[in-house]
Amino acid sequence: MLDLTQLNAKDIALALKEAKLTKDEVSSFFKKRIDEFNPSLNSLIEVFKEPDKGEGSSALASLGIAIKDNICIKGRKITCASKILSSHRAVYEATVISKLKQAGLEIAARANMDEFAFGSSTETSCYGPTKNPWDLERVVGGSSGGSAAAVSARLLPFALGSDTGGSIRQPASLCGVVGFKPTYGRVSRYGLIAFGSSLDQIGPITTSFIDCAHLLNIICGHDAKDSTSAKIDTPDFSKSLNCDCSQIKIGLPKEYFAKGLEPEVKTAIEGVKSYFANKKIKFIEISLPHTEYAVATYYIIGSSEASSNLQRFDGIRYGLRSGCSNLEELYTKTRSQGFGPEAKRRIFLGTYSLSSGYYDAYYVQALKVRRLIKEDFDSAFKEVDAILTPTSPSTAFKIGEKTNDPLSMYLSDIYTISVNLAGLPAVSFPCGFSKNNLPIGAQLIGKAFDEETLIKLGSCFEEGSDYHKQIPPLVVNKKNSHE
Amino acid sequence: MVDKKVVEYVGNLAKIAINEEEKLAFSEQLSKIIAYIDKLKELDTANVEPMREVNQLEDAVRQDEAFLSKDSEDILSNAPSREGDFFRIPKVID
Amino acid sequence: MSNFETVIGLEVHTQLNTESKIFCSCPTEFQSPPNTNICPVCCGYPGVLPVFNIKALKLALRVSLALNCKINPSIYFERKNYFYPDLPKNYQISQYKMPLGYNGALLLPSGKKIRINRVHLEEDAGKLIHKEDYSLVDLNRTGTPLLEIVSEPDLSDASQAFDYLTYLKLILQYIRASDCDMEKGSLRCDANISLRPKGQKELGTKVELKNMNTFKGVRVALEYEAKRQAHVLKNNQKINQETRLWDPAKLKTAIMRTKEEAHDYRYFPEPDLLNITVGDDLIKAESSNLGELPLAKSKRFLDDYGISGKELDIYISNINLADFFEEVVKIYTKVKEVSNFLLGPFLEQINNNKEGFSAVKIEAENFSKIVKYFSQGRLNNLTAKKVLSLSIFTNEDIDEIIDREKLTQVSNEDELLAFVSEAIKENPKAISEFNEGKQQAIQFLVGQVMRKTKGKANPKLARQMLEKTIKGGSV
Repeated sequence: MLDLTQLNAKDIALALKEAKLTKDEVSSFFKKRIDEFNPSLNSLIEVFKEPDKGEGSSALASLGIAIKDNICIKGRKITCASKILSSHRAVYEATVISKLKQAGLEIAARANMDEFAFGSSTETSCYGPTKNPWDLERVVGGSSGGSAAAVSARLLPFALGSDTGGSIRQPASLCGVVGFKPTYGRVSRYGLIAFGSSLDQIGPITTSFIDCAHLLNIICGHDAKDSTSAKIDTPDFSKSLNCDCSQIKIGLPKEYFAKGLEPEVKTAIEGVKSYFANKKIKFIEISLPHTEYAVATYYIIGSSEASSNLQRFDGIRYGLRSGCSNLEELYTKTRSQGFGPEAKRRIFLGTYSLSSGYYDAYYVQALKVRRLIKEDFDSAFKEVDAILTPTSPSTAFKIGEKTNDPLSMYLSDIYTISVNLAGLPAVSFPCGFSKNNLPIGAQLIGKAFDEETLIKLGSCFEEGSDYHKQIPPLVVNKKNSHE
Repeated sequence: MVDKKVVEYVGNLAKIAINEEEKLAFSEQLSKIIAYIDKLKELDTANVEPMREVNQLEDAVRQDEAFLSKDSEDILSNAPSREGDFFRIPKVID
Repeated sequence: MSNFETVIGLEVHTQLNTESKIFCSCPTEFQSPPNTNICPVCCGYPGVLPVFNIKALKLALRVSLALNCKINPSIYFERKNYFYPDLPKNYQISQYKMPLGYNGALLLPSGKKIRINRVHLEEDAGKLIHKEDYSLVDLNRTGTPLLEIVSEPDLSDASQAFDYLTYLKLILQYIRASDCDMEKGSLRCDANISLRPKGQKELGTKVELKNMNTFKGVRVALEYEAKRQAHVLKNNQKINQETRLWDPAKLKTAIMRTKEEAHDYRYFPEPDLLNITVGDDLIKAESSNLGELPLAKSKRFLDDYGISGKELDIYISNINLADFFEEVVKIYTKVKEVSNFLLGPFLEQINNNKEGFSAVKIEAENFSKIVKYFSQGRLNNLTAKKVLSLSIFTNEDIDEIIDREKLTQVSNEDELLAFVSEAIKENPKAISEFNEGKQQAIQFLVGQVMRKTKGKANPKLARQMLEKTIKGGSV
């Protein structure tokens, strides 16, 4: 029987082009996996019966991609996994979706996520949590958990996620796949339902750096519809695959290897280090002294922007409407019933930190500390070309374990948040497994608009390891498969 | 300390009503989060400019060219309540 | 009242003359059917992003320069957060800490200087239509570029406020930044007013006034509010800091909200937009786009054309008319004749048209023919007016009209003789009155001749012939 799980997307696309495989074979292979495993994973919230087919050709043409449900696909439902948008349809196309179609990809499915991307576990979705393919009792990470789980389980060759504080990288790490967050401004945000406008960035989730580079080639580029999109040419990222890396210098920030890091994760990162060291890559210990302030800074800025961005959900023009006797009731009933507890918590936190009397102490102070955090990176990058850290302090935790303790949930993003505050590119890639067979991810952080160094290093690591080829031991759930 | 009164004030600004139980829970959780965030106050930032832009980019502007969007009908049909070509809402008293 | 002095500051909102909205490409057309000039961006759809219209900056800059403001070399937008159904995102993109212009001044024709606190850009909101027991939302206006011009509290009474508004509007029209049509809502005004004992430096508690829909409304509302506050103070009561709404039907202000209910707008920098550089090249370009301001035009009209007094006032307050005048006198140089005809019949036609000057189609060259023919005697008062009425809103060729309507003045004695004789024959009473020395009688007879010729007779000639005939007794 045909097994495509060991192939990366680029090779499947090539086989299709060379007629070694037929479109039907590929479609039915993935369709079968979706039918078998998605019911227990809950990673895809809609699989399109008739996918939107793109017209163009590219290295990845004619393959299906899953889209996190906060990116607008014209004519399709878009919910952000929130009750407040549960019946909403996109009236326009996100720029990245147009680009995917122009590259000949098929828009195949909508992926589960934390409500409005608020979360690190995909437990706040109104569709229920996504389960980790490596252990169904554990979380998948978040907020792009549906995308990461689907790719990890090979329900599709790849997916798009969005990353505001680690929402691509952390689930990629917990699921054993490659999750790339590009430089702020590299990918258009037009059509991405905003969480934190100054932090959000769309990026690919793939099983390899090869696919990652090819997908980046498609989605990156300036967009006149996004004022924060950079007028910088997109390099051919595939040219950075499997290059010589011996001249690259990597920094190890001491703050990222302090208390709170699980020993198994630490060991795995040390494995990455020695692999690179064998390739003659130099390591330098660096310091990012304001790291300990990143989570606090992030929660002020992200929640403040989110509280304002989410004000538009008011029951007047689209989405849920409840309560009609007067305007005040329309607003409050719609929003109280439409938003889940974590969304409310972020809205409250953001509204509070922007409100009169607190603005300077919280919001303005956070913007200042944000600059200090960015300057930490600026000075580090005078010495090094990339920074290596763990992606997450731990492997996947149990579903429900942190839902009652928001702060401990927030702290699980401790290694990924600074990158968004500084607007830098970063990638998480598989670098090991724990004793109980849970994936561990390593993170590489690059200079602004230098995604290429990260792809060089990542693909260099991939050449000599097979962590990314490991496939979760999924069992067909008989009950589900007969439904 | 984010007490119940502050929670109510913020809920009013954000147009989100929460019940007594939630108020208590939010007050406790937000107080805990704010207490953690208060560590930002340790830093002396008197001479630091707030960071408003992530990456210094060229100005982004458009020329003054008008064209009609094709989406106006789709937009109106998305409205939870519509009357003719208007969005309908409860009576607004200025 | 006499123990107090009034202190007034005005906040003027004016729509800028752009083709498209400030953050999307929807047209700013005022008269479109409801919810047609809308798109996902101005309707606040999830996932959309604003892109700034550079023309709005140019026009705002022009206004700031005309108001002698200092210009911030780099500006940014902020979000003003509040829920209202005419505001789709439930925040307004506006400017707060870094307005485009600040510390300016407007010198009124009276010589009084009104300082300008700030000039900033923002987006307009939509419109609500109130029905019996529900309301409707029209978002066509949402996102129209709006300029807020805030004066310092330098105005000392309602009529000064009126003069300031009138002159500000004139400037905005001169530099072609805005239509300033209060009826279309393209210009709106709120006021802050307080009273203080004469001689006191410190300002009294201020009240914000809203909902004044005409310049006169502003004046009457301020007069009312000053009286109300004086009354309160005379009774040794305190003025509350509050917002009050003007009720144009009841001619009263009524409380809208107190200071305690004031909004907490949670301003913060708009993360979806970058800083906008206001470069020297842009400032230079807009300075040269300012054109001639009212004071300069006034001086030039006096010097170049000898126009003064009330006539001058009309031209200065009506820039379109002044421009048209100048075009005409380039072609037909007799200033007095042109001006008489423009300020007379021409202005009368415009004032009788709902659309006003914007309905005028006649071109200067075509128009100049009317004045010329009138001066040559080919048209008289009546026929000239008739020709004008047929051409002013169509620009139909004057010669063709005269031809078609057979309006050439009869200045030929042979042609007139029969009509003159008839008039004398039919009106013996007038003849005897004239012979008794009543000069008006001749005027009546001229009228008769005009009637018989359907207005085409040269009245001067008709009069001469009448007098000659009656005196000569040759009938």
